[in-house]
Amino acid sequence: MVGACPCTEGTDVPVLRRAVPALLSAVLLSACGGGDPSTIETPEPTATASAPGAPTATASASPTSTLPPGVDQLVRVTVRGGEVVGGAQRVKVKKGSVVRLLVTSDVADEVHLHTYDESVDVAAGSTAALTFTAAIAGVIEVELEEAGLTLVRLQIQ
Amino acid sequence: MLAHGVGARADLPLPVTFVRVGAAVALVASFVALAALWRSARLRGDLAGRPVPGSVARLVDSPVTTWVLRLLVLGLSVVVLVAALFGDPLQQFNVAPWALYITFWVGLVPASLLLGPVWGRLNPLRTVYAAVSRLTGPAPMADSLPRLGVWPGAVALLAFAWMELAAPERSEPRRVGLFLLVYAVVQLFAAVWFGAGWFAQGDGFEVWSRLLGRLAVVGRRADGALVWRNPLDGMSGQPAVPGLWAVVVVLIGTTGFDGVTRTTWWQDWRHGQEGDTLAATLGLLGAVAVVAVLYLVGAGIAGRVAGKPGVLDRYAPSLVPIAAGYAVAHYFSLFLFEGQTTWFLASDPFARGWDLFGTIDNAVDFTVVSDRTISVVQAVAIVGAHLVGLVLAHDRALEIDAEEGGRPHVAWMAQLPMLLVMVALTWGGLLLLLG
Repeated sequence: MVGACPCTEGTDVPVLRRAVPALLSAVLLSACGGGDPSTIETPEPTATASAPGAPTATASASPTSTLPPGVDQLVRVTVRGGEVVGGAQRVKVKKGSVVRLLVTSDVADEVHLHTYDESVDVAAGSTAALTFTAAIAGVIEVELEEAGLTLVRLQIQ
Repeated sequence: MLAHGVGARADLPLPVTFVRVGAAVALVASFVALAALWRSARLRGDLAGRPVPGSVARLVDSPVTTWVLRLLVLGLSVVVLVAALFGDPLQQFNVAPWALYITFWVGLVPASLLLGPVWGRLNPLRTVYAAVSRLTGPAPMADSLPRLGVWPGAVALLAFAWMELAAPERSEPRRVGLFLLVYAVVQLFAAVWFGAGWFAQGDGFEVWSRLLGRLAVVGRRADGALVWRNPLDGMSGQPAVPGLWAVVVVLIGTTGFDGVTRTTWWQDWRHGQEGDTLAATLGLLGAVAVVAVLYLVGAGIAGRVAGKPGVLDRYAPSLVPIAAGYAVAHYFSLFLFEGQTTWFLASDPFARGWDLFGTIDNAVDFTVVSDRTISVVQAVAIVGAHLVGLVLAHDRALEIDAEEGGRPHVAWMAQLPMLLVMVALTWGGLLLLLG
């Protein structure tokens, strides 16, 4: 039903045709420059693993413990009275490194590492260890399943 | 727990360089637009476009095509509903939450941007209503419908966003099923009162799809022809229906709040209490309120300067690209990663131990896109959306000014508040991505 209409082909936008590619190139070129982890300015409440082999303590203080062989980073979380001691932190992890998660809990539950879909049971009053290779990048949650409590967020990049 | 429906992986913070460059580009472009873009309104709205080949138009407009697709979409919707209510009770094994929050809600954005207002054509509620209306007869309140504008759509979108971001146990299949049922019943009830036209104004998903569809390269010209057209023309043809500004504000505010829940600021404050519906509800309403105030002040001043009251709905279309940019930035990786899960779980929708597509045991492939690509897409989406919005706001200011007598200095000044609002939203969008 195409009748007569005062229709036109459409609006050409020459400024955009030149400006948009230039602006987009600017953004993309900047993508080739910065972006290494040290330029990320995330509010960082805990120490980051700046040197390979240095342990990262999130809740408990154990500054002089050495790492087990084959493990690049330790992340410790303590759960007491239904809450994470010190609050759920965001911990930076280098992509590809081997991480050992140590969770101490006063109740029995299951520690679930999302996205990687790994779990380990923790008995009441004891510590469970979950070791994995951080192959998938992103901000990944570790949760205490039954309690629905977020233990720690691993910023893997 | 899960900030946005399903999925417990969040994107990495945007590199600071991206944020700085993006923010600078947005600001500079805004003033370049003010100074260098055209001086009188040029976008042609629904008059623009070059007709598509006749055979394509006939295929697209054919009733056979329409009904085949409608029945297909209805069938899939019923499967998802049944799966939600009767399938596996656990979210990890039930296709429904993934299909709703990711495949449908996020997928609606690229589908509409590419193909036009697809949900307007395929909405299963319309299909059901077509049958129901045979029994109920003509709609008694159809005449009141235009007055409502898209206000009911804004309410529907806010309700869905609440469900997605704040409702208790929002990713549990039974909750999802309940939401779908209640939503469908309410919409159908309203349609019985107001007629089939209700869906284009009261069904939030259809309203969003129609708005996004205006930015597609295909569209419907004033004479009904299917045409190729400049997306800017398409969006400039969007009529200023009542409540349009509320729809856009809800979309930007709720997506922005999704981003807020991913920041360390919010997460530290919540101390890991992920299930707190009250805090999330207040945060959601707060985010919408912030965007609302920004928009109302900006459009209000713009209207005052132009000496034209009632421009609130006329600037709303220029924010639609920003809403789309926010959606792409926040949900792109979710769609590509966790969105794969829908297809895996679809192999066994009713928890019968089936494996219809051989995918039930598949795991998400996180290598489909790199984190660097994700960051680039996020930044480009936010900044690119800003550029598109700038042009739309510029043209709209000129159009309004022309109606008032055409005073170029006034048009310039009237644009400024809206440009600043858009810069604020774009900078806000980039800052949210800093994590």
